[in-house]
Amino acid sequence: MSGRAAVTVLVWAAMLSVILALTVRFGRFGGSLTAFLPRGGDAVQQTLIRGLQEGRAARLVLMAIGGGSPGERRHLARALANRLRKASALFSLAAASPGRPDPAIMGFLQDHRYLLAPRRPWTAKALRADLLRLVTILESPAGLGAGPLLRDPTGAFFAAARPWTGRTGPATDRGVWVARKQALLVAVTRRSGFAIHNARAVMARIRAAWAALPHPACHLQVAGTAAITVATNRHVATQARWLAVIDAVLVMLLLGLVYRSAAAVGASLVPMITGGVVATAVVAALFPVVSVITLGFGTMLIGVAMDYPAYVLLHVTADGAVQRAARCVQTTLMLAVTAMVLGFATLLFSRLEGLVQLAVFAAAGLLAAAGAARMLVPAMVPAWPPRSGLRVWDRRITAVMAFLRRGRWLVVFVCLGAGVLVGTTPRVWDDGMTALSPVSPALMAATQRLSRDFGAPSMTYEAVVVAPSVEAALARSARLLPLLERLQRRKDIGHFDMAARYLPSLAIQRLRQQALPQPALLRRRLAQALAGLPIRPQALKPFVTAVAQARHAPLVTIGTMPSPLRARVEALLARARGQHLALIPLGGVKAPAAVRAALEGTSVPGVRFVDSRQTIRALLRAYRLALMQDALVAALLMIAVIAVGLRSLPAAIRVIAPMAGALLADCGLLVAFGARLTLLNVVALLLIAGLGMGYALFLGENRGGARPLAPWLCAATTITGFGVMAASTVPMLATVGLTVSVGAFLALLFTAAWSAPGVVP
Amino acid sequence: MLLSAVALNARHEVHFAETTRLSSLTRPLETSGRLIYRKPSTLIMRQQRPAPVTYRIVGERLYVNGHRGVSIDRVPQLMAIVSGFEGLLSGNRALLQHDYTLHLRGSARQWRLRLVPRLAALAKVVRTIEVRGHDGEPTEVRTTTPKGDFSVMRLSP
Repeated sequence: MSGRAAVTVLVWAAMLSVILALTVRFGRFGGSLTAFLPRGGDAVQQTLIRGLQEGRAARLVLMAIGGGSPGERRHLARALANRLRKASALFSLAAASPGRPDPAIMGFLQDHRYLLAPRRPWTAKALRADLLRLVTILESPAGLGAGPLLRDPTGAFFAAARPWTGRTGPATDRGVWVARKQALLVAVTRRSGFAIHNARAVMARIRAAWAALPHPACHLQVAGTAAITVATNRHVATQARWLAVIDAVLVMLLLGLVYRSAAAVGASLVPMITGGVVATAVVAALFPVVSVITLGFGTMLIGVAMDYPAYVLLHVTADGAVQRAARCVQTTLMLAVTAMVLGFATLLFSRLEGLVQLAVFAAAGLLAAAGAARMLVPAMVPAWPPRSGLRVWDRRITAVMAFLRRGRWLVVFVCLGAGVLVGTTPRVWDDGMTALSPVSPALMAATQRLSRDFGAPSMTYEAVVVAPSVEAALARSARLLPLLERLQRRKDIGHFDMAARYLPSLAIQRLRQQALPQPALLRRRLAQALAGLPIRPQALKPFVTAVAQARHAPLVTIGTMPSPLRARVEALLARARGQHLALIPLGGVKAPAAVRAALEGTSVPGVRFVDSRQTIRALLRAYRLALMQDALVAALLMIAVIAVGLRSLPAAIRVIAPMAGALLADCGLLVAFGARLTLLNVVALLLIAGLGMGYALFLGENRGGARPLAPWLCAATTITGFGVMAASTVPMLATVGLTVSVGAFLALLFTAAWSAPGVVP
Repeated sequence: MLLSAVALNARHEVHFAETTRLSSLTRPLETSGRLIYRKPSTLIMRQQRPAPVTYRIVGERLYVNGHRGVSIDRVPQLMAIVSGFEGLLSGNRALLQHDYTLHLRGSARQWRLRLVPRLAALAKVVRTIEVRGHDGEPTEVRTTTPKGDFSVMRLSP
C-alpha cells in the first residue's frame, strides 16, 4: 500500500468512526410500523389514523395470570396491579378489579342527576308509579337501608349513573376479574404502545414487577399493543441477525472462491459499510426519529453496494492495476448509481414518512458506497492480478449468453404473458396494514380474546358523526340512539359507546330542565300521588328542594365534569380539519353491510360508517397508485439519464427494457403462485430495477476489456443473500427475499438475452 | 361455645315475621315468609307477604325471583349483612368478627348477642344487630340504623 493510499484509508476510517459516534450519540431511533401509516385524508380518516396510533386500543395492556390456585391467582393479580400502579410515569391505570366508585364522580352525578338522566313525565300518575315502586323496595330485606331513596324517588341518580357504571367487564371472583381459570388485569399506558421505546419500558416494568412476586405455580401472559410491538421487533431483529450471518458467510465464501484474496474480499465489504453508516447519519440528521424499520429495509436496499467492488475488481486486467480498472468503470458505475438514486427519489413523494426516510437512506447510502468503491477499494487493494481461471469462466458465460440470446423472443413472450396475468388477476394487491405487519398470530389471538373479556372497543368498526360544533356532534349522535339500540336488539351489533350518552347536548339538558315542575306544582302532584301510601309527605321534602334547585342549575359541559368522566367523554370526541367528530365505536359487529346501510340511510346529517381496515386499505391503495405513477416518471427520467450517459436513446432503451420486463415477469411469477403484492414488494421491485440496470450496463460495457463474469457474480451474491431471506419465517422478510432473488435472476437472464452480441471477446 | 351450639341447632329453614319501622313511613311494614340457609353459602329469603318474592344470595351474587344475578360485592352493606347471617348460621366466628365486634350477654339458656359493625361503610347503614335466643335457637333479630329506624325479625320453626 502506497503512502497516499494509506492516508486515504486512515482518513476514511477516522471519518467513519466520527460519523458513527455522532449518529449513536445524537440520533434518535425508534418509531414503529405507524411510520408507514398513511397521513392526510379527510377529517374522518385523520381521526381514525390518530385513534389507531394513540387511542385507547393502542395504550391498553391486558394481562392474564394462569396456573396455581384461584386464591394464589387473585393474590398475585392484586399485588401486580399495586406494583404497576406505582410506576405512574408509565401507566395511567393498572387494576385487577372494577374498583370502588369514586365519591367525587358519584357526587357530581348526584348533583346533576336531573340534567343527566333521560327526560320523564312529571305527572301525578308517573310520580305515583315511582312511589309504589319505592314502597316495594322498602318492604324488601334491603328496606332498612333504603331510606335515602326517598330523596330521589324517581331514580334520577341511577338513570344518570347507568351509562358510567353499566359497562360489561369480565366476571369477578371476590372482587378480582377472572375468566377461564385466569385472573385478569388491565393497564393503560400513558404513551402509545406502538412507540417501541415506551413499549419496551412498559414490558420490562411488567416483567420486573412479576419477577419480584413469588409465583411458584403461576404464569403471566401479557397482551396488547405494547406486547405486540416488542415481540414483533424482537422477532424481526432475531431473524434478521441470523439471516445476516448466514448471508455474510455464504457471500464471503462465494467471493473468496472467485477472488482467492483476503484483501479483495475484505475490501468488497467496505463500500456497503460506508454506505450504511453515512445513510444512517444522514437520516438521523434530517428526521427527528429514525424508524428502525427504515434502518432494516434501508440496509437491505443498499445491499446493491456489494456489487460495486465486484465491478471494479473484475475489470482489473492481467497487469493487476486496480486503480486503472476503477477509473475505467467509473462512468458506468456513476450512471448506474444516478439512475438508481432517481428511482428511489420517487419514494420521496409517497407522503408515508417511513418510505421518505427509506428513499433518503438509499440515496445517501448508494452515493457513499459508490464513492467508496471508486476511491477506497483501489487504495486498499492496489494490485490484484486476476487468476487465469477467471478467463475460463468468462468464456463459459459468453457461451451461455450466446445461448440465451437465441431465446430473446421467448423473453418477450414471457413478459407479455406475465403482463396479461397481472392485468387480469383480480386482487393482485394486498393493501391491508397487516400485510406489512409481522405479528405472531398467537399473540394476536390472545390480545383479541382478552379484549373481548374486557369488552374493550375494537377499532375495526366505528360510526362517526361529523358536525360543525361539539354541541351539534352531541345532538346529532343522540339522534342515532334509537337506531343503534334497534341494531343491538337485532344482534347486528354487540355494543356501542357514545359521548352523548354521558354528556347530553345543551339543547337536551335545557329541555329536561324546562320539564321540571315548579315546587308548588310538584308538591300538589306529590300530594295526589301519595294518596293511600304509607309515606310521610315530609320525607319527600329533600326531593322537592333538589328539583327546585335543578330548575336553575347551570348546564353540564365537558369543562365542568370531574376529570375521570371528562377523559371518557373526550376520548369519544375529536377535532380534525376544523370539524368536530363524535366517535361511536361499535363492538361485536355481525352484519357490517346491514349496519352501514342503516347508519348511512338515516336522516341524521354527517353520519359515516367507518370500517377502519377498509379505510386504511383505501388510503394505502391511493398511495400505492400514486407511487406507481411516480415510478413511471422515474423510469422516463432513468431512460433520459442513461441515454445521455450512453449518448444513444436506443442503447438506453436496450438497458431499461429487459429490466422492466424482469420486474413484470417477477410480479407475474409471484401472482401465479398465489402471493398478493404489497407496498413492500414495490420497494423490492425498486431494488431489482437498480440491480438489473447494473447488469445491463456492465454486460454492455466494452471499454478496457469486458468481463461478463462481473454481473453474473453480482447476481449470484444477490440471489444467495435474498434467497436466504426467502427462507425466513417472518412473512414480511420472506416476501421481500423471494421477490428480490427471483427478480435478480430474471433481470440477469433477460438483460443477458438482450445484450448486444459481439462486444465480448 | 354458643356459636357452635347455634350452628349445630340452627334449623336450616325457619319461618320469619319482620316488622320494619321507618321514620319516613306512616305505618310499620309487615313482611313474613321463610328463611332458608344451605351450606356453604346460599341464603334464600322466600317472602310470602305482602307479596311473594324470592331473594337468593349465592356467594356474591343476588338473584331476585330467579332473574339473572347481580353482583353484590360492590355493596359492602349488603355483603356484611349477608356474612353476618352466614357467620351466625354456620358458626363461623372468624367471618363474624371480620365485619363486627361481638358482645354476648345473658346465660346459655337466655342469651343476647350484639353485633356492632367495624366497617365505616356498614356503620352508616347499621348501628347494631341484636340476636336473641334461648339455648341453641336464635329467636329474634333486631336491626337498628343510625337514624333510629329499626326492624324486628322473629324466627320460629
